[in-house]
Amino acid sequence: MRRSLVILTSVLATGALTLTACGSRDDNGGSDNSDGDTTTLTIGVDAPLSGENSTTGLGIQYGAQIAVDDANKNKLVPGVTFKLKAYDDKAQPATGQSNATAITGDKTAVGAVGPLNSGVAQTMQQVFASAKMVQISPSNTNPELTQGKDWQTSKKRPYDTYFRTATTDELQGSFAADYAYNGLKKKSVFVVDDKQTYGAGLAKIFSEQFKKLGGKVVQTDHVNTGDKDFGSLVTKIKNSKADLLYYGGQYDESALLTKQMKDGGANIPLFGGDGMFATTYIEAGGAATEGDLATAIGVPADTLPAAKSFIETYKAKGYKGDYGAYGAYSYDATTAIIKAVKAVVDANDGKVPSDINDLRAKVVEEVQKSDFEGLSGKVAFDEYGDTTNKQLTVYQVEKGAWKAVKTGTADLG
Amino acid sequence: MTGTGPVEPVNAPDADGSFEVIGADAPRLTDRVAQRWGALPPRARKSAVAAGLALLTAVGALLLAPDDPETREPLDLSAWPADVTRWDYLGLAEHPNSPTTRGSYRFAVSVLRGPDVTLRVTGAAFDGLRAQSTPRPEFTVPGGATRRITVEISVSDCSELPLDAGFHYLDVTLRNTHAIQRHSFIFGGAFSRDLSDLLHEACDPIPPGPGPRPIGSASSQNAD
Amino acid sequence: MNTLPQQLANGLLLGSMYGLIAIGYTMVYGIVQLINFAHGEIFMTGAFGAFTVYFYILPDGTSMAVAVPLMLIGGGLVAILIAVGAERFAYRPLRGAPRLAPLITAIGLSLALQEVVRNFYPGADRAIAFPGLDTTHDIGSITIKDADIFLILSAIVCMAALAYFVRKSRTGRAMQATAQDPDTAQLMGIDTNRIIVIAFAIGGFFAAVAAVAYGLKYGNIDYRMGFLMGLKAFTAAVLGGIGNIYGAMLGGLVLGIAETLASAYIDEIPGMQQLGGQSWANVWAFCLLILVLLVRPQGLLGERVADRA
Repeated sequence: MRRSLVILTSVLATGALTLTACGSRDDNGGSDNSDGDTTTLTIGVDAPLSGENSTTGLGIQYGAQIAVDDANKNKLVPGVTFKLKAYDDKAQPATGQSNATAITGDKTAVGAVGPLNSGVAQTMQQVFASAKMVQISPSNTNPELTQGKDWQTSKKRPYDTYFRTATTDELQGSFAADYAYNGLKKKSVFVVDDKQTYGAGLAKIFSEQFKKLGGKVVQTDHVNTGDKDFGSLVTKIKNSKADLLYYGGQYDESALLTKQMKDGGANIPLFGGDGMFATTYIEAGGAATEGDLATAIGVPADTLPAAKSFIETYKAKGYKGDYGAYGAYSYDATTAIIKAVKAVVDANDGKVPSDINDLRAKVVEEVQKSDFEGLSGKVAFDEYGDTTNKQLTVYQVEKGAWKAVKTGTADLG
Repeated sequence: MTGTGPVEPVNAPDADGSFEVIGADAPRLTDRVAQRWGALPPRARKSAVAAGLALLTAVGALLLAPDDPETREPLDLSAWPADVTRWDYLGLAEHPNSPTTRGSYRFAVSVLRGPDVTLRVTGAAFDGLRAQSTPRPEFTVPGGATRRITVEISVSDCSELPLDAGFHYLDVTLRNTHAIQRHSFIFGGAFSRDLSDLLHEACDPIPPGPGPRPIGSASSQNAD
Repeated sequence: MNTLPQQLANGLLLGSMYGLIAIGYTMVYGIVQLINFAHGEIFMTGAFGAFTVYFYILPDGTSMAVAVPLMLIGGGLVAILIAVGAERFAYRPLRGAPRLAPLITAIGLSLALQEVVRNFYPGADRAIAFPGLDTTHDIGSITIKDADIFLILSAIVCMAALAYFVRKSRTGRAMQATAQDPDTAQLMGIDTNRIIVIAFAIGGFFAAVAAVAYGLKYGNIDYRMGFLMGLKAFTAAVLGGIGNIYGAMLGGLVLGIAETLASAYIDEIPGMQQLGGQSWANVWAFCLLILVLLVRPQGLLGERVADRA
């Protein structure tokens, strides 16, 4: 009886503690003051706002918040007050899906911004498609989301309601491979990913491109999100004699990995994607991150004059999180939805369509036609819902800060 | 012809060839317009410019004003060159020499707004490739304008050159009154295919010339 | 390069940490038959206690030789306080209640501790950089750093001290007696409440030692660090035979080494590439647990005791 209790409790506790990772925390961040004669429309923002990935997730939330505040202040759509409602997906696909259901169930919601993680996006797309509600992610980079499972051979857009202001990993992985091979002159690389949609996809594209360029992938391995001890992996990396570690995943794990790797005597740089481009990576990994690299979507925010007042507002409001990676993209995604609402209202003699489903469907059409200068450059979407603004930057940690070392613009026509 | 001096082939024998002064290979229509423009009296020219500017301003104000009531401060002067410069691949110019280790590719370079941008093509990612705009290695595109230019890429060393890289790069130094940036323009699609064709001709299967040495195809190293 | 010595060292280090935490599970279970699932969080609060001492109390530039003992004391105090507080206010009122009640209390407590730290400790909503002991040493083909040496030494010292305490001291013997039969022990004049408090305190202190070692080794701490470590340490305690302190340490070492070797070498076996690597480490660790429990349900060093409940 006692022994069976031990086993029973261990099973029960594992299950119970796993469940704690789920659940949602709704933040009502919006400033909502509904005067009688204005219509209040809600924009949902979904991102990890606590725990893993929350640094960049909060950057998405507050980027959207500033866009909504700006639109309300400037009365961008006369007669409409926008309200932002934030949902925390904790980087969990299941939570993201239930958040998507909550957003589509909100009868004042016209669109959604987010999520951060490509794996979460996969579970949300269908929900938004069924509700004919627009969803714009500022950060998803997995090619499958817009171009279908067989994007390498035949591109086919799976959901008309899904857009993104970030470019895809097809480009990001190639850009990283080029910089690793030609810029850093690294010829043999050890590739690690976190088995998530984003991380595994990016690592795969990087490996393929790196091999195409003539480089060698000496070994691959995978980690679990939440892993802390990488002693065994570090020994493998050291033994492989690779001169670069490429990591597909988020900063939570890569910061630990780079520290343990350098402490373990494998002194090679770690190179990752936009998922680890955050100040938290440097804070958590400390001095071991010096010389590490990451590609990120877009060009450095300080080279975007339009982003200046955005950054000032972000800092002045004391918002948490890191706007550097996706803040401007989140602002642009939110603005695209707001501008689409404006176009619908204008086409309807200045009135908000009374049927919310009608409004949602028309907003999707208008978002597809977006064409304006955002903070991150031109905001427009191609036939797959991908941004036409394909810029990338390689950053390297120098004296404890991310510094841009190479920028690129793509023309894939 | 890839010398570093400022070559200005006025009335050069190949002046009507496919590569010459930047912008000079523009459609003849513009030439005719330019001639007529030159023939006008200076006062007419001035007033035409003034009228054009006024019209542009008015149209611009009309278009922008309702859209964005709180117009942002004039950002254009502080535009970073990499954010306003666009490259579009137009197509292959002829291979000028044989054996084929060199190809010429035509691009349209646009500067969307802001001050003039001076560009210099410095390379094409790989050490074994040289890239340069011809005939001048450095050229300027005025703000708001598009120029057609030719970039000549030559293969100097086949070892470590991948033949089918998928994406190809042009490394360019961009300079305007605001900043100097080193930037890469990334091409998939047509340019990538055309450049891969050149690499195949130059490096595969028989290496031309004494310099390049034969290697196995890049895919033979792909074991992981 | 032969990686086996290095991998064994990696496993030993990881295992020592599991073992130190597992002591807390096993002692509490041995005496009150309670699985204190908040123990992982006590480990976590120990880390935050030590960090508080380092960051908020000690002046900048304190040498680590001075700082580490003070951090041990600070982290230990916090962890003991919370462990003893949990016993006094959460578990003692439920003594004698059905066993499910304190178990659920433990889970609730663990969630509460996580959320309290996340919401009220400044900056704890993400990983916090912890000072490291990063000087590395090469011994033969093994590379280890100061934090690893600290971990191994503290595991040995703690285990030796605990063994001495339990066997030789009066309180230790009272503890053994209570573990054997609490009612009789009480009849013999042992203050069982005091013994239980001491068991929680020792577990808390050991968790704090592990937490300081964790911080020094991995360089950062976060409010969720206790979840996986707690689960692994619990596994180690069951593996070694829950209730037995040597078993806890042995279970920790076996688990750590098995995990490390599995992730290092299984993918080199032909046909097993898909089942190897870092991401499968947990799977192999739990496979080992199942295997051991099938053969020896009482764990490696557990004694087959007649069920008293």
